[in-house]
Amino acid sequence: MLENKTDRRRFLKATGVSLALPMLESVPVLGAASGGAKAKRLVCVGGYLGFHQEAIYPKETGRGYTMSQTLQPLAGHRGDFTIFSGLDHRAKHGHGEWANYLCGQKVGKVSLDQIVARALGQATRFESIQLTAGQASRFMSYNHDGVALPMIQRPSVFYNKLFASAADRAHTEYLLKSGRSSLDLVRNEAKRLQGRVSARDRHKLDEYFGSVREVEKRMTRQLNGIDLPLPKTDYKLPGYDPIAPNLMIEAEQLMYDLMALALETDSTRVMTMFLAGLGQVFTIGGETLQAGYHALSHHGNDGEKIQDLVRVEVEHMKCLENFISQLKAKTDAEGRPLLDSTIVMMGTGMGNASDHTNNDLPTVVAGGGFRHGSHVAIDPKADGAPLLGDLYITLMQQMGMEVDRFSNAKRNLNELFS
Amino acid sequence: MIGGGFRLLFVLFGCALFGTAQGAEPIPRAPAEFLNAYCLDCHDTDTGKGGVVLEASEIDWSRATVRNHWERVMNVLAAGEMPPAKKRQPFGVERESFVAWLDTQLTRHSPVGGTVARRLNRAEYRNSIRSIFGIGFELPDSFPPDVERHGFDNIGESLILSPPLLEAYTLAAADVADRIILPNRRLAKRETVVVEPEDMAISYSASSIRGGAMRLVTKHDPVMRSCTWPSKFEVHTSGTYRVRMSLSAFKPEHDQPMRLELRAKPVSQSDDVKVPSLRLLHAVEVSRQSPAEFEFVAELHKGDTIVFYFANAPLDGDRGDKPAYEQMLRAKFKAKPRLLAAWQQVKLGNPIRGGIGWRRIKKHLAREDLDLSRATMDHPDTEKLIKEMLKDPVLYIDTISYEHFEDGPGLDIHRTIIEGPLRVIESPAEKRRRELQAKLIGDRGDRSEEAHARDVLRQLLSRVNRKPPTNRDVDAYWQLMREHLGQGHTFNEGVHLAIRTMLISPQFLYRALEPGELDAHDLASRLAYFLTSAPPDAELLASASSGALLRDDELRQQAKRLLRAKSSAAFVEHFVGQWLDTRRLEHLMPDARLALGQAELQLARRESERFFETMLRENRPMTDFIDPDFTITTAAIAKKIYGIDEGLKDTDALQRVALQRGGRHGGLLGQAAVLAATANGVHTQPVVRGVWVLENILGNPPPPPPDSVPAITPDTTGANTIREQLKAHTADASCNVCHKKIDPIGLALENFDPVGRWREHYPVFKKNEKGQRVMEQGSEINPSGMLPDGTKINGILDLKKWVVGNIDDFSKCLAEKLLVYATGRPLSYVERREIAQLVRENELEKNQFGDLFFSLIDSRAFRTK
Repeated sequence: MLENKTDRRRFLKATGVSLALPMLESVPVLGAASGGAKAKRLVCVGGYLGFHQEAIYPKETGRGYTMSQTLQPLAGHRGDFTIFSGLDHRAKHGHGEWANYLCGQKVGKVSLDQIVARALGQATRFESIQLTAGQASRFMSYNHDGVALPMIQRPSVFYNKLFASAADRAHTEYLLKSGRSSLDLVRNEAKRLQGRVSARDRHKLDEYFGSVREVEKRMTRQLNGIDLPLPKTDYKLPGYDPIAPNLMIEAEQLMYDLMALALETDSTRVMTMFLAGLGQVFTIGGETLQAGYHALSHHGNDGEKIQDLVRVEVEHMKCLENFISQLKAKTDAEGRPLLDSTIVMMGTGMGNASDHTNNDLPTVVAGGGFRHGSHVAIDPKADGAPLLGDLYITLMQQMGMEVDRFSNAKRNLNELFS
Repeated sequence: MIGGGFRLLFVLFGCALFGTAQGAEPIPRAPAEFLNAYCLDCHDTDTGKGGVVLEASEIDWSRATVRNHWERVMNVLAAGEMPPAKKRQPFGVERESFVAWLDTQLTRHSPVGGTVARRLNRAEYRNSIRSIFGIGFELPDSFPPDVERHGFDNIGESLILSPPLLEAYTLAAADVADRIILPNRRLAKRETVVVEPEDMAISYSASSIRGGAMRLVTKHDPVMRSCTWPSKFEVHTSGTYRVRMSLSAFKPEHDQPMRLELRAKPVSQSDDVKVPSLRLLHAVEVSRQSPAEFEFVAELHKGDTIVFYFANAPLDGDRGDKPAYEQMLRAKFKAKPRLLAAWQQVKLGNPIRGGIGWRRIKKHLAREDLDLSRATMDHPDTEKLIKEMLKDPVLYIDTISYEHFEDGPGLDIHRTIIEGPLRVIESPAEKRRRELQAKLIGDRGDRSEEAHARDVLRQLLSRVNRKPPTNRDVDAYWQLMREHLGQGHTFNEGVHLAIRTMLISPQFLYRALEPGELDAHDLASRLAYFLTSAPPDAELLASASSGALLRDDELRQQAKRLLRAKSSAAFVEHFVGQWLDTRRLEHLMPDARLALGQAELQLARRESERFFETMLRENRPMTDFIDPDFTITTAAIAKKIYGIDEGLKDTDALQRVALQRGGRHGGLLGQAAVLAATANGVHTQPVVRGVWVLENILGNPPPPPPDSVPAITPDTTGANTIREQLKAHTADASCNVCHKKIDPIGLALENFDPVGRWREHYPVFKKNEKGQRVMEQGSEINPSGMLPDGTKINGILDLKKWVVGNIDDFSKCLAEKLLVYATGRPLSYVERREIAQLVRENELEKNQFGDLFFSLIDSRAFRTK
């Protein structure tokens, strides 16, 4: 352990100079979501109980590290991902603050995926999609108004959203079209009222008119989208929705499969998935574990518990591995592997679930046209140590967004990771 | 010196104050001379000390911000806070006549009424939908939150409508319409599903596969901690289903039959749901130890699954039922000394949880040299062990479950076959839909299509808009429907569209748009949303329609009627929770060292609500708010927090507890919820408590502190008392203006810890030689101080006496809060004067709360938009 820490310090020293400099100038400025950006899509997966740090962090830093126990399933993709240690948002501790993962220091502030969705999501049928494997006990994504976004738990619901039947489409179209005549009526009603109210209430009604106009625009956009040909798929879901707690890993894999289809059909470019952590008792390799996932995470440094906890975390990584493989095999419109232009991030808002601490958040980033293959270790105690938000700024810049701030972060990690 | 808030006011509105504005009046000679002689030395345009400028030739009284500015001037003059003591002082008469001039101007120019159109807030919207359509309705999670202002979340100006909110309304409207208008039903296919043990859910330590069967061992309210269910089965069509099960009893205790309950649970419902709340389908008694067949037929609804619950399992995990758990532990250890000895060998806490923990205990059990010397029930170590295990039943039951999986008693489920639907039935949702349709749409009979539509629309509109629609309103909706029908849609689809439209219309979303005195229907709405957070009920609407509501006593009578109804609980909860800030307790996690859990904090919150309600219902004297002879709380809180041991009924429910007047606890200033809401769950914060009392009890809130001042961080070592830290305030004159009001009150409350428990010393937490945290007595608390009027107080008893002696200040404060909540606006100068008058009149009578409350409902402020 000690050795490891020295390593990290040395590593930081080497990059310390560039860290202290403002690095914005060195970043090519691209238009938001410009065609020239290296990455065009973002998938963020968040593990509610985090990942046991000792097992996921490789002992060595830099490129030549030995694959860690938790990351073992990803060994075949070594050159396509980077593991970060020591990053966080300096947020408060506790389960309640978990959503700091994508929100940054303050839970309830607009989350990374939603910032990206506003920039990249306009061209697709769905600006963004929020999913959960298992029953979500927390929120993960927050929009610009601070509203927590609900997540889809049933793979069948996600599937129907992507590959709606003709009847469902007709119904949506009907609701949207008739909804526009609704808006006409209420607008006229508000106009009639306007003549009878006080000056301050006229302002209030202006709010109303503004909202009506905005909703009308969104409806029009949706209606235009409805005429686009729907993607077709041969993919078959099982006859049941795996939402019973012990079937969570099965649900997780299905969601990844459907996400790959969603990206392939360009139905959306921004997705998030929450990995729940309640009392699920998993059966791994034919053996049923001796405690629920949540109980395992409260391991109190007990070796046997940690061993089982890591087995569950390895299962998550196997699902991720399968997803990455699919993104390598599937291609975009130009015939290049989807992974090259898709950023896949697996992270968490909780560093150590046994202590409920929210610092030092293990984070894996794959794809998206970055130069991968190393363990980027940050010593959070070092002066001016970078934040997880700095990494997010780098991710956004990779997607062509002109961004130099995220929550409490004001720099980027471009020098460490590009 | 005047504080930071005043400065801010000037920065924002200074320009408007002194520019020449429409409606501006010149300042007459006498007041102008007064200003010149006593104020402008410091407050002329150039100096503007403290950011306050009083140099002007005219004043635009039509602007609320200008009136607020001069009202503050009036207040500091009347209180003698200005001019500062070291400056030349005006004669008494001069001061009085200047104050009188300001009073006259403010009274003349401030309006009655003027609430900005109020959008329904979240609670009101939810309740309106429920009441209009008579359906169970909850806001979706994605519904945007409301903004709080002037202490409440129902204030017109802050209830903004944004595009995402209108979009959320649009989606909710379609959802509501769907619940009324029937979609086409799909044909159902009969299926047979075979559920093997491995197709059943395992959650926490509720079940385990043993000997080829799914074994249940615990009884525990949350489904996820006690049940198993077919994990790949979900009812797609409501109907009757035949369920065949093969079951056996594994090592039953004393040959007692095992009771298996089968209950219906919607698959989408949280697994945390409590078993007793689920619909019981069937129960069987299992006593044979070899598999036996059981069969039943039950109604299952779309979306259901069947949960299996071992209803008389001896392993009882419910927190509320600790004695059962304790008895089980004692019986087990008494019968099995070796098991007790093994438990004595292991380290308790999280590592022992679950099957891993049980394996470890078994290792000790297997040892020949297991130390049995302490394994007796009368050994102190045994008592210690049991005490520790009682602290967290959930944790240890997760371990003991594994013992029972191996050694019983357990209930084994071998195979389940579900067949159906045998017969398709109407689901509850479908039944409600049919009934609603009959009520809202009905049969056309011999009416024309248009006549039918108009009748339906008229009825719907008067429900939705809380008043009878005009012909024009009905025309507009008929037009909408007719066009829709013309496009080939059905009559019901037309109604569907009309409902979707009504629920996003301004007449539904906003209440009281017409300025001036409220008409009967708007008045009915104001009263109903005030007292029930819901639209007027049928009786109130009838009273509005007949015009009776506008006659003398009717409004009071209706108010009394609504308060008697159950629905007034919403008023008590929303008003009290926001007035006393006890809503904060929802998110407050008290430090474990304070030994008061979240659940108890919620009960403390109910205490404050029930206390307020009792004050109102029993028409108690105003002074009882501060120094009553009763409270309504739980036995646990009475014991733990208030130190009351006698006269308590042995029940978990809230009960009325008698108190001695003049005591520490009792009344708003000594209630656990209030004292917890004004602390942070770990430390007390005297400044927060002081400000809270000024704002919510005395109605004299200080302006917000300047931004540059850092918050005081509690010094937990106890070397530095908070009093010493606060001393800095008295040294700095600009701080002292407000802090001489705030600090003495906050410090007088320091004898109450962060959950309201009495203490004489600050606690200090240290680690002893074993590394355990222990509490020691720190420095003694000094609750003495001097109130701004010169009264010396020594702690809470004196403070309470002082507030009782100045009870009108409290009455005015509460009256104002009630009217702000009721009308949705901050009150104007003249409205506050009228309140003061009502408070005075009430004091001349018996000074009872109920009387004051109803006089407020009759006031001009309440009756005006």
